[in-house]
Amino acid sequence: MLGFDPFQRPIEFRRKIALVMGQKAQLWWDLPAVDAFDLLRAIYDIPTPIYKERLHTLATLLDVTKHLNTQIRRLSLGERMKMELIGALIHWPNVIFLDEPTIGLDILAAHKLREFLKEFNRLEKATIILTSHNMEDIEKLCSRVLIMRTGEIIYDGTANGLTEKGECRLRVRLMQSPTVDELAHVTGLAPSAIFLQNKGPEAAAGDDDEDDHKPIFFTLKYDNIVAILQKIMTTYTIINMGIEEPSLENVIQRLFQ
Amino acid sequence: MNWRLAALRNGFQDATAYRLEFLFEVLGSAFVPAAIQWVLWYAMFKIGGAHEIAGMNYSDMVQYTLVSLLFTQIRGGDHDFELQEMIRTGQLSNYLLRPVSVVEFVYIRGMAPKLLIAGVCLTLGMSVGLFFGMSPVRIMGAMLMALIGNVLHYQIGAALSTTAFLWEEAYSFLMVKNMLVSLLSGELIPLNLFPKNMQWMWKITPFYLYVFGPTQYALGHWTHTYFLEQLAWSCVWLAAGWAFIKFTWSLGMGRYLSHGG
Amino acid sequence: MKLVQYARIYGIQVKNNWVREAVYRVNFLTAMATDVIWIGVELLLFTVIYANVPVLAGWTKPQVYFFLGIFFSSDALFTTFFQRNFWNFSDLVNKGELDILLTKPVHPLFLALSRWINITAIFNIALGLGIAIQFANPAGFAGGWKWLLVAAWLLIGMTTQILLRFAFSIWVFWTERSWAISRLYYQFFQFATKPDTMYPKAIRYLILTALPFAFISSIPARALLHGLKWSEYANVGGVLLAFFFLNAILWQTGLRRYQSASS
Repeated sequence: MLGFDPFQRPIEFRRKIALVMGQKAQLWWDLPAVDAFDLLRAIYDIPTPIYKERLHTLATLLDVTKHLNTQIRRLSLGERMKMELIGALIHWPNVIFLDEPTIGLDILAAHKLREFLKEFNRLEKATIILTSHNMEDIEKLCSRVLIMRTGEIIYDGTANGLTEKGECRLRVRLMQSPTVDELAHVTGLAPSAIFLQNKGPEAAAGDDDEDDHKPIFFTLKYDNIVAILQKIMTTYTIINMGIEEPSLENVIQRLFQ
Repeated sequence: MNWRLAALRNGFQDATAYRLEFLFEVLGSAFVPAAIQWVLWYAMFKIGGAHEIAGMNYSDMVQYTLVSLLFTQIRGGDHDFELQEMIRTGQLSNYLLRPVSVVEFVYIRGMAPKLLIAGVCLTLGMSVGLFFGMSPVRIMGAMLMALIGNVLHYQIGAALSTTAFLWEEAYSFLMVKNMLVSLLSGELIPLNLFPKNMQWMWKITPFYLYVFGPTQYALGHWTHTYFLEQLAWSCVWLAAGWAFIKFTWSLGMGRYLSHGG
Repeated sequence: MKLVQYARIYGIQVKNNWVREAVYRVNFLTAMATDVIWIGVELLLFTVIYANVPVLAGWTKPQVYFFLGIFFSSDALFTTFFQRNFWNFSDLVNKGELDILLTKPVHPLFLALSRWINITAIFNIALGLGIAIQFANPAGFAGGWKWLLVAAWLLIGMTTQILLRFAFSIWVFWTERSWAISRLYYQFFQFATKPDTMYPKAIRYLILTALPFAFISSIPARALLHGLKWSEYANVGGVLLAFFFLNAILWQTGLRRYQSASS
């Protein structure tokens, strides 16, 4: 990346990246943030006027100018995270790795942090790589999403691509227990858009109880709902049904199933 | 009562989860003080050519060293440092919500591995002791005293750790206590080596009840009546320690709570 | 220039530590008190022993006190500049804070080992030297220009401690509970508190080679009081070099393991 091999960690590469981890602090607990930034200035060899200008810009954007001289331990979690960010950005990296930046933050602080990241990304054109379990982080910030599962990439695309516009999830319970192929044949949908919950071996055994009526999920366009329902009703009897808005969280859950 | 058992089991599992490290620690803390002692006797008797020091000859010294090992293993435990750390970092607040005494909880958790070691030392001491003609009653009595010493040591530590309510670096007090204990408990040298005019130094602290007392009794240097007298003293110290904890913790807690934790 | 940059970084670390310590003024007193008590306990031990024997393995009482003075100042030197950094070393790896250091454009070990400076411990260096000066004459130390040698030997003592402490800390890359090994260090460290000639042959051989705790103060004190044989000088140099390379290899392999585990 950036024309370097990250595992070699060449100095020039290290000058161009930054790492922020939500749970690990690089700032000194007992010192005001400015003193820690001063050390970073020396480490990255930033000329003082440039350093001052950047610090001013970042502190203003994040609205923490008045806290710069407060001991880190006296700051709130949100303010501390903002200081961590300033510390990470003070050398103007080209690539910023953020690991769970909003972990433990309240909704307001997380929102402000996201706004800042968006703004910084727009102003400085720096690449921001974000790993997060918080779907809001991803929906609000990311233009490209990679979903990993045990080391393998199982999705690569936009956040919107995961939840296409006008798409929804139809949940139906039937008297009968058709297979995916039978359903695909009846509805004319691709088998990949149909998902049978709990199609485990015990369901196949066909015990005569409630388990027979597991919900079936169809991913389809809003406009198609009525047509599909009609097709289903020609062959099967519907016990009940519902329509779900697909949040990113749902989508990813589905990807993992 | 139930939580005490749970804490004991938890502490035990915690200490022995990594068996190799646990073994390392036990061996390290047994081997090194013994080696240091032996070195001194070696230097005094073998290199220096002395025959008798403070009424003890070389084999008396080595005997003292070996027997004292049994009790050195029981004394201490650094769970008072844990208390101090909890106060300092504010983790204490988590425990205040639970219906258990923090001081007691930390002690029980921390002493669990010591109980195991005490059991091993007792068996070892009794079986090996039998071979050398040492009375099992004496060894059991000595172990009882050492266990009371373990409680005493923690009581003092727990009381001292309340200084963490006031200062960031309360562990210094605990360090100082441990340094004094290392010499005045008799784990480095038999305390009767102290010259007459310096004997008061170890007599004014309860530390000699940790290692020196048990060792002397187990070796038969103390009579039964003298031992019982000393055991009574250790109970007096226990009561004093308990009062000391009550006092310092109520002071510290008052301060902690008024500062909003 | 790289050296200038490192010096500048170190300067800021010193400044920041100064600011930090100014916040905890009580710490200043307690840290001092702790060491005074420790020195007191060690002196007391030998006072008790010398109340029973006049000479111990060829060391007179003032000579042992001189040895203790050298030991305290060499140890305080280590405490001042390195102690706390090594305490935090395992956290650095276990809590993954090393990740951040690895992204910095300076050597991660430099940052890891320069972060905490215990400025108040400088007092203890002076205290140790005070004891050494006090007993220099009765111990038979020539003094004069040889005080310069004291400085050199103190540095060797500190270097030994750094290399040994590092070799005991580095296992954090391989085992989660490396504190057990670190504690073992402190157990062995006890060997440094007595002159090496007091030890039986096997232990003495050990602390002069594989676990060179004798270099912390025993060898320095002997060199200053009586001088050493050439073979002994060569031994000091050889063992320290060997430890340096051993540590370098351990660090490289450990780091590789760390990086492949965390990425």
